[in-house]
Amino acid sequence: MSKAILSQLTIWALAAFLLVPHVYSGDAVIGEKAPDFTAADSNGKTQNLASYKGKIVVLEWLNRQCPFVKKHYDSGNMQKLQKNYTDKGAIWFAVISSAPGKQGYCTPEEANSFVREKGAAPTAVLLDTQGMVGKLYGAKTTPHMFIINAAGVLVYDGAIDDTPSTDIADIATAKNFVESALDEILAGRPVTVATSQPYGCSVKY
Amino acid sequence: MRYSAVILVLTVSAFQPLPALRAQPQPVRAQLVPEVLSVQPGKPFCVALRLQMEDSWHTYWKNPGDSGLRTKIEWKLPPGFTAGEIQWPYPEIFLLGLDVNYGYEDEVWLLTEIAPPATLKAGASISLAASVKWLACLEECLPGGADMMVRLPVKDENPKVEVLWSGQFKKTRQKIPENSSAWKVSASAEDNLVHLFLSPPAGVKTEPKDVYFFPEQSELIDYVEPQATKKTEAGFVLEAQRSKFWRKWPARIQGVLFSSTGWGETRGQQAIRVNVKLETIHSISEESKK
Repeated sequence: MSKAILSQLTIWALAAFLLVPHVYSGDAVIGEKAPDFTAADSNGKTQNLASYKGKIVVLEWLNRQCPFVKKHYDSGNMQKLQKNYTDKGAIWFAVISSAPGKQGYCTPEEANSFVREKGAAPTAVLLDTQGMVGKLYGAKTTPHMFIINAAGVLVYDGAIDDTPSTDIADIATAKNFVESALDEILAGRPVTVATSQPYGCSVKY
Repeated sequence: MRYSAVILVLTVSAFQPLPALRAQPQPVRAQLVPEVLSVQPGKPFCVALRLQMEDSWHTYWKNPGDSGLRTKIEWKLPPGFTAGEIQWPYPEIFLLGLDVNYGYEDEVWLLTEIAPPATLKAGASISLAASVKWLACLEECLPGGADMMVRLPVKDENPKVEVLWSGQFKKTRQKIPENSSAWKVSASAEDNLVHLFLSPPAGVKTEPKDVYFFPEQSELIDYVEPQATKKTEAGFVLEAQRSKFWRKWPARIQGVLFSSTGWGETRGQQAIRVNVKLETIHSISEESKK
């Protein structure tokens, strides 16, 4: 849905759009217990958040065809984060919430070959084809990032970094919020920047 | 006028090699349009970046909303010239998935004021170059960009305007929000709400309808939650929900207020600019958390 709304019709359009806002606003709240979910991964395994209690869990919303996502994979930035923090014991789920037929949708084979070709290192790629996990967390963009601490509390919800762009060159000067938050969590410190405006493509529910 | 548009990045599956010759859709055409036919030393003039979007594609406003990316212009000007900020017309609302986006479809003219130095010598010609980047989205998004240049002669006379485009410049300026000459606006933040208080000037009969606040700042208000307007004794108040990505209240609140019936302004504009101090009211619950 991308129909432009004439300004005069703003109210009508928003009213229609917003009839069900609370279904979509997400149950994930910073500082509170992260909502539990169960989803199939690209290797046919069922992944359940609650079973990772005691571990840091990162959720990364993924659409391999989104230019903002490409920036972080073509540069190797995302893979580097995945390797670095899974090596330190974190669980990293790349979540694909694209519906069948929409951009970014992946069959299990497509998801696995993406991981292989990009040298990605998530713990698992979750195939959230119904958008259940995305809507539960209120995932707005790809890449929208969430971090859950070892106690199961949501401690970060926002952008990957502070520079909204599709240019690889911007990564060098950007402040990476996910990296800072994970380093702080691993050092036993509170997360300084716990929220930020996510940037990217809309999630193709 | 020289004109070139190059789509810098193509959307192809990550598994396919780049097809060398296959034509890619180019959803945006870009062009630089000066308002004047010549440059007078020391006298500022406007140049428009004209973006023409294919059916239903849109490019973005200053604040793109939940997703998307604002259009950027990087000017390369002769020595002594300066360029102002983009004068953004108020945007339209687009709904993508669960996201609210602010942007433009069909066509938009983004005006920039260019100030030439007073020491400029008549007789020569100058070139104004711009490197432009945009993101165009339908449902999918394509980043695009263009490097463009225009040349203008320098003359010691009041510049003539290009009549071909004067209507477009006029139409665009009608959509560029200015501070209201008459409405009094103030803002306060309380718990999870932002309030904009508006009082009409004496004698204004216009009743603003379909009022909507486009925030220029991100991490301020939630774009999806409905905004409510209520009448007050002094006028009315608009209430918006705080963004879940909020970090701290800004000192000022900046944005654009739209009304389908206008604001009773002399030029009949539908949008006025808001740039007011944000009074923050700490509630008991917030204080007790500290």
